[in-house]
Amino acid sequence: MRNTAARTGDDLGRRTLLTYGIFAIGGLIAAAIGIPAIGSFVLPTLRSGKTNFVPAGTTNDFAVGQPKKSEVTVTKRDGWLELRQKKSVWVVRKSNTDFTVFNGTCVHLGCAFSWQPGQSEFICPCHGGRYSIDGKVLGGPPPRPLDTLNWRIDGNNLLVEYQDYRQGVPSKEAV
Amino acid sequence: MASSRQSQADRLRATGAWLAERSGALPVWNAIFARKMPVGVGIWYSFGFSLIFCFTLQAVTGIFLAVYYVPTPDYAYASIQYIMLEVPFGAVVRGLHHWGASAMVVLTFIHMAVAFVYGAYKFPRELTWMVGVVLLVLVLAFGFTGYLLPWDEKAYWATQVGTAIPGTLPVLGDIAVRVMRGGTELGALTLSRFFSFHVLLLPALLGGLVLVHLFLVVYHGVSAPPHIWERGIPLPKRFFDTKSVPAPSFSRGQEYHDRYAELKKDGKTFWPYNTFEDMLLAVLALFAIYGMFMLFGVPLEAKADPTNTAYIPRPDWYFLFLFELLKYFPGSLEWVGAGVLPPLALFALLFLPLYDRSPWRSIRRRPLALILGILAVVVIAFLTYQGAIS
Repeated sequence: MRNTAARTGDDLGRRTLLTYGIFAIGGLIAAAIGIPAIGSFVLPTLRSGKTNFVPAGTTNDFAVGQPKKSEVTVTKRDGWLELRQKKSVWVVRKSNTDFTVFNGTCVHLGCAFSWQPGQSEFICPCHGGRYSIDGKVLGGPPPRPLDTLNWRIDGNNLLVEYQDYRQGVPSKEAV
Repeated sequence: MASSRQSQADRLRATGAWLAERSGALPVWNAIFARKMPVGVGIWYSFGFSLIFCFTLQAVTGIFLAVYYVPTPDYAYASIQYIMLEVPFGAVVRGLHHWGASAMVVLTFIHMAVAFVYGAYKFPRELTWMVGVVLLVLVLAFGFTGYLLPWDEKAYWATQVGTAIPGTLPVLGDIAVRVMRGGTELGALTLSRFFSFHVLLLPALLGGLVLVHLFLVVYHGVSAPPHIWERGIPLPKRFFDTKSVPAPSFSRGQEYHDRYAELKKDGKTFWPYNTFEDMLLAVLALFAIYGMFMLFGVPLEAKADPTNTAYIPRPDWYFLFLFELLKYFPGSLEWVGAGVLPPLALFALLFLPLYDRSPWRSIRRRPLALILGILAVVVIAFLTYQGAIS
């Protein structure tokens, strides 16, 4: 049993006020430190990068109906580093003037898939995702077809607008 | 001569007494080391200390690794190579850190299994268990943030997959991946935040919660072994027979505390009996860690290459079961396997003391707990095995 008999009404009011004050000051301190700290941790991650067209080879590099991997060099800012990163794309030449270009990462969880000529399928080794030559899912866990990339022909060169997409979701969302 | 030695000894004793009084160490000693343990406490109670030992080992080796390690993609791998090839004992320090991590996971698992089988999570130690489950999550978080740091192929690709998993969750998936990676892609920002968590945030959290856990262990005392706790009540003739004897009256409340005090009266003190067993198990753990290092060395694959299409990522062995679990879910249900089942299992573990209200502690009188426990171990072992051979 706590002895409250000695406390007058004024004293109780003062104690209550001070208790509120303690929590108010505590909350103010938590917000003053927490908002910048967590903001610096979360907000920079919400920015999106810019894209531009980069060369993926000459049109003669690709034979009709035979998927071929091509490495494109993308200039990226990785935090404080300016990086020229190599990214893989798979180019499928459908006709003399028509191409399909796939982002080289599996739409499931981002592993690198590759074309298996024997099976005529794209296979991802991680979780067994399988895609047809036009990127449709044939089996395994991938939730959507392979991600196609924008391309254009400039003279003899195939240019690709490299872009990454969110992994593991049914819709194609640029990141 | 003899008298001067005598007076020296007296002076030493006086200094000791002064220190004991001024520092307040005596009550601490009495509360922790001179405390009595219930009858029958043996080596199975020593896994907690082995974990503290391993955590200390990880802290010490980690500090020395941090002397040389650089957490940025252009130098991380080179700095690890430097540790391995040029720093005297560098490979040993990294080897102890690498295998110490696996030892922590194994010991955590055994420690929890013992608490589970002994019903040690029951009254009054519910909170001790729940803090322990949070510690398990922190140990796994240490593993996850730690294996990116060498920036080799395994590090890069396993983290690539591991950080993509939360992205399958509806609504919050995208932001979860961005916050984990520090952006959309794995890179310098991922490495630095993983490093910061691994060496600053997680040790502080784990250290603090270990203190809470230990306080609770000392405050409530360790649980008595069930066969002694339920001594005098005849064991059922067959498994699953819970009806032949009435439930004990002392499973909770004042009756519990009375019986516990009685069992402590006949018990031994923590120092030196249990302390010796704790040290014994700790040194065995250290031998095992050294043994793994000498047998298998410490892996370092080629430097991470984001364009390598041939690399098949594998997480560390203790995440294989989660990795394998994903294969059982078609794409559209991925988020169930990734974002629903594991948290559900974790909550089931966390709140175990709150929904398991059986008054019995002996596993022979807890058929449901026994079956579910074995099932959980079999499923995890099966998935781990499948993940290892696939």
